[in-house]
Amino acid sequence: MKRLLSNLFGASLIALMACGGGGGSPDPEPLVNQAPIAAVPTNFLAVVGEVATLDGSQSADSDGSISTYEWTQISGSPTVTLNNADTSTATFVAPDVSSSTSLTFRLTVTDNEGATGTDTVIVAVDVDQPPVVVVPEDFEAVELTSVLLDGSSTTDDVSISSYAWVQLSGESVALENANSAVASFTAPEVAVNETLSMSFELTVTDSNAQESVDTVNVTIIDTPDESTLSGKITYDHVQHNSSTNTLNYAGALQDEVRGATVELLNAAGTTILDTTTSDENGDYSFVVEQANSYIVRVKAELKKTGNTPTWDFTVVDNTSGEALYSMQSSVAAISSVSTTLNINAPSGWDGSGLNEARVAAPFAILDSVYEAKEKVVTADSSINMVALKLNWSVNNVAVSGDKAQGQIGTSHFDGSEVFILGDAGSDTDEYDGHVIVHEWGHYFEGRHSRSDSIGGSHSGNDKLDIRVALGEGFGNALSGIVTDDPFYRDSFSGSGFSINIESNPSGTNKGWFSESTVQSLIYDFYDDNNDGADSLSLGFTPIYEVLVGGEKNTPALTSIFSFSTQLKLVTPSNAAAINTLLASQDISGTDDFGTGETNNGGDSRNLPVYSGLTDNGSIQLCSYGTNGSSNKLGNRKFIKIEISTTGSYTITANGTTTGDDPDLYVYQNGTLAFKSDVVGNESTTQQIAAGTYVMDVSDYNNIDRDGTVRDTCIDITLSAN
Amino acid sequence: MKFKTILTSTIIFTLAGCTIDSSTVSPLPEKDSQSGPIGKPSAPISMSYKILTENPKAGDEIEIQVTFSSTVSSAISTSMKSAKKLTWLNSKTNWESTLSKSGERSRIPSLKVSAEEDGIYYVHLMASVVEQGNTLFKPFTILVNVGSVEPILESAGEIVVDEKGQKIIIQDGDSNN
Repeated sequence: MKRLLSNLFGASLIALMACGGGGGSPDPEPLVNQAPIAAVPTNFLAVVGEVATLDGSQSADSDGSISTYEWTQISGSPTVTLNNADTSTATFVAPDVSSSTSLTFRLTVTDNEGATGTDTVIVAVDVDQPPVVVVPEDFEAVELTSVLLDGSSTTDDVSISSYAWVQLSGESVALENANSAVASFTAPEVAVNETLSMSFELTVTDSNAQESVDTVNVTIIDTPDESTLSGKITYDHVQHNSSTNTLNYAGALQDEVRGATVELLNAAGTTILDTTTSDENGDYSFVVEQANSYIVRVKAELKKTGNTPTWDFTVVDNTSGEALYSMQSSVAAISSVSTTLNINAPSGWDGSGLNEARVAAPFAILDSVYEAKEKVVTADSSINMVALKLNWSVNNVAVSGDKAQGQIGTSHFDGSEVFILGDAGSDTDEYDGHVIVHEWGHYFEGRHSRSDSIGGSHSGNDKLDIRVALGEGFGNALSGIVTDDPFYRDSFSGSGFSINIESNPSGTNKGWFSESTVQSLIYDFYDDNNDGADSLSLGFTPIYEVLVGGEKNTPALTSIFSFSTQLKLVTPSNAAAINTLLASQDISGTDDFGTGETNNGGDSRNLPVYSGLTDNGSIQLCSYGTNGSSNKLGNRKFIKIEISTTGSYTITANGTTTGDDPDLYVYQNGTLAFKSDVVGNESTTQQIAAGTYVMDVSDYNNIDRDGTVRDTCIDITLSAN
Repeated sequence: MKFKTILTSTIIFTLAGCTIDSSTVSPLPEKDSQSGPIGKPSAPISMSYKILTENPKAGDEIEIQVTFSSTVSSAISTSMKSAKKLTWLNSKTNWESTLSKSGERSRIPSLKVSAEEDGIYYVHLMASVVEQGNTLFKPFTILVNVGSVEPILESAGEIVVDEKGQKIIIQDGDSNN
């Protein structure tokens, strides 16, 4: 046994060593002494009479030490006397020469074993040059201001000993720091529209008493009168043809750019002199100087910081590194007490097509956001809105891929930013204000409220996952609420469609799974037009309170059930009217989980909306694709799980047909707690705290957008370990 | 015997650990519980396409197989919209067909285009269905990479970094001065 173990152990070692390399080595050979390295300065200039230093102290020996240093002059005339030539650092006095002369020196270092290293340096000896005086170009200075005379850029080949500023002509002024590189004085007062001329001289002396002189002329001018530069910022707002839903570029109106950052720049456009914000009429104003010129720049951003409410919305180009869009005026010359400068962003329509710069597009998007922001701020003046970038580009097309190349798929919110179509050959959404507000609504739901939506394609007559029905219905409703126009319009090149948000759907497609139902209900909650079963005119504030209140904390998934239940809590006096409106759309569920709902959407498998499981139990649910795949009613089923005791639990999900691929996702208050989504049946053991959870169960064949849907059932078990 | 087996197994495992090439292990496909981006309403139409011409080059006839499907019972109308800098090789009117089948994946005649130069091109199509008296539209775009090149993007204007450190695009407004 011992031999066996030993053999095995030895074999293991050999195997391991064979894997990792290694092994013994022969006796080491004697080391060879390495020569030292002589390190000398780079070639340099020395002025006649100056002490020049030859510094070899950086010399080194890698395997020992340096024993001796020796500096020698090996070429050039005259021969100089080297001081401390046997040390690392030698010196000499640069000899008197009549013209530039090169002297070459060699450093020889010897190490502790007698090896040597050498190097040479060339020192160019030249006659001392006088200083090069640099003073400002002749300039103007405003009366009664402090004026600087700056000679600090002056240079010398050795060193500067002194500066001396003096006034040569003009009304006498008191020079401060006259013996420094930078002197100053206070410009005297001048008569209106008059000027005063002065001249000043700077004398610079170097360490060899050589002098140089230069002068500067200063003209003192009268204080420029103040003026007001103001105007209106507008953009070409292309309107929809109400019957065809197409865009009428030729009939564009000029609408105000509201709340945008407006900057005043110098005429070169290089310096920002002042910043303001356009008001609700698109007006701006700056105080400027007469006899000067300026540029006005408008940025496609809404920004407010400091006291609440605050916001930060920017329109950027996702194909140019998210650069912020801006437009600017031509140079405006100010010659009077007030100057008006109006700036308009053109649409880019040249009469036959979008063949010119589409400057208006970012501002059209910004204006839709302005309206949405105002609606929210009116309901809550203490809100701090999460920053949002809205990405738009002429390169944005309806194909998914690299967003930096414009391949954004469709106008959408990706959980962080909004992306908007802009390619004129594909689809342009910048003037489809309802589309912009719809996407902004997703941002608001996602960042200020709560959205459990799983996204995906959707249409008004689809039977949708309850989360998608709420998210999309809310987005559509919000677009009508913000614009106070219930007609959602989406234009395409040469075509377009509209959705009447006010219209309550009829027939079998209405209900808790319908985006059209949800949009019409939320709009009816809001509007003043009481039609049909609608007797409510709540305005936006109660809806807002639901979004930022109870909806955020619902234990169920966000749906019309959670939304309407919370609305009844916010405005209990209107609960009956809300129920009447819900009933008109065949919605009878009484709480966040749709308990008691009787509308099965044409398929008994859709009810109950949530099945139930407790600590130990089993249930069979069916996933099917009759209504489509991925995000449609029936693809996923929901279970409300009540865990009474914290502990370890095992959950299994087994398909009942060959080829089934059940998956499960468990949420608590909208946050994913855990999941099990391997290929095939599921079995997972989890430590679960007591509380309420929601399980989303599906067959992946009905979720995969590229898959083939199937009708199948899944056995779910939950057991405490 | 059992002890030997265990040790032998250990050795084999250890050896295997030295020589296994992890790059030969294929990762399992990642499932995505999300259905897609949270986007705007559109017609209930989906499209799939396949570029039948492999590695197309400038001057090649590029054939694209296109399939539309919809969950609604009405027919799908399709049309070509634009394909900048591409030449259509089949008749647009023949291609602007109304599919008689509904609720099924229906194949229509292949698109045929060609490009004079290498580049990335987009073929823009439009599809529509009538749902409860309302015509709904949905645009689709097919990406065609001729010559396997990088895209050339249209610039919106001069890009600078202003003195606030902000990267901005400067476009000219129409001013009245």
